[in-house]
Amino acid sequence: MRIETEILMKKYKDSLFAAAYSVCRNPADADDAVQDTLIQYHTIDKQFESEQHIRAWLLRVAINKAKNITTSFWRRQSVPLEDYMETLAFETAEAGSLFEQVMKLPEKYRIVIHLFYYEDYAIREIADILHVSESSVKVRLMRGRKLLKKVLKEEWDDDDQ
Amino acid sequence: MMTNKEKYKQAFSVLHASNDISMEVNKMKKTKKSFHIRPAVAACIAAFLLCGMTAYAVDLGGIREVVQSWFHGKQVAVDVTDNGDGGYTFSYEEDGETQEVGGGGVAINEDGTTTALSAKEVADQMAVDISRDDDGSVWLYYYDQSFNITDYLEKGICKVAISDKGKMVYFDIEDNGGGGYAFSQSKDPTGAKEDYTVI
Repeated sequence: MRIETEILMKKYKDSLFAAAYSVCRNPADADDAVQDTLIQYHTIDKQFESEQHIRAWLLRVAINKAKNITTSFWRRQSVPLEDYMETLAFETAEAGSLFEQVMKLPEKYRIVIHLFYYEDYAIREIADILHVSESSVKVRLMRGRKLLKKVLKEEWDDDDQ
Repeated sequence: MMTNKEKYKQAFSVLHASNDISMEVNKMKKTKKSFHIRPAVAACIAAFLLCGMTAYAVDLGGIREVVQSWFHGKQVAVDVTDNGDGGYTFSYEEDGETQEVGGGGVAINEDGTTTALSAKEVADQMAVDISRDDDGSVWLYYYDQSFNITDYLEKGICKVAISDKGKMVYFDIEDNGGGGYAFSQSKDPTGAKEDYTVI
């Protein structure tokens, strides 16, 4: 099956952006990753099994493109996290604090945490998207949670352990 | 009491992709024949958006040359330093001050391979620009031409056309929500020609 690119764009561009940003931590780079991902979807001759299949594919491609950007020379002009955060309208101070601490995690923890907590993917699904083993996902998730708990303390619960 | 997932979603719900993406993808859908060109142009523009707004210190140890280009409707001599990594640093005088921007880009060939743009090609990308003046007026700069498009913008969007050596150039312009404007230009209108205001 295929879904119109414009429909996917409206529905998923923000979540693709969030995933890409979680990797590259640069809004302009994340925008590039999302745009390139949607263009790739539009031009690729590929049939999908379901919308969930498309969603996972889009996320995988956006994450990979964001990773590629981080290794290119464009990376030099990164935007300091603090500067970008000033442009974001967090509902609460705790939300801003959580965002900041997640962004300070190592990249391999960040993206696993993001797919689990934001996209609601299970460990097996995250392993499929990232092309890593389930045990790797479990370890990264556990270490990421521990680091968050260490800095956020009571603002981060143990309910997902 | 919110769960960690609820807290996380609340925190990250502030992230939104730029409106530029919608424009680029919509443009691509409407003008499939120019598809191979658009990503390259988009890459160039994206590069300047990344670094064009902020002057930064660079190691001027690369190969240097001077090219003629246009910035904000004025022809200027641009001192270019090839940084040796596919990117360039451009230095020029504007209103008595030295401005420094960085950028680079690639052209996407028909076979999907990429070719790095020359310094002149990259500098020429900066000859077309849209910016807001201190007094709030919005200007479209196209090489040696300047157009005040403030009154054509409706809810931050407008479609205008200009004449370049007898040939029309069509612009789709949209406020990007970040203090600037996203735009695409084409030799062909993306919709009905009547939708464009010739300025």
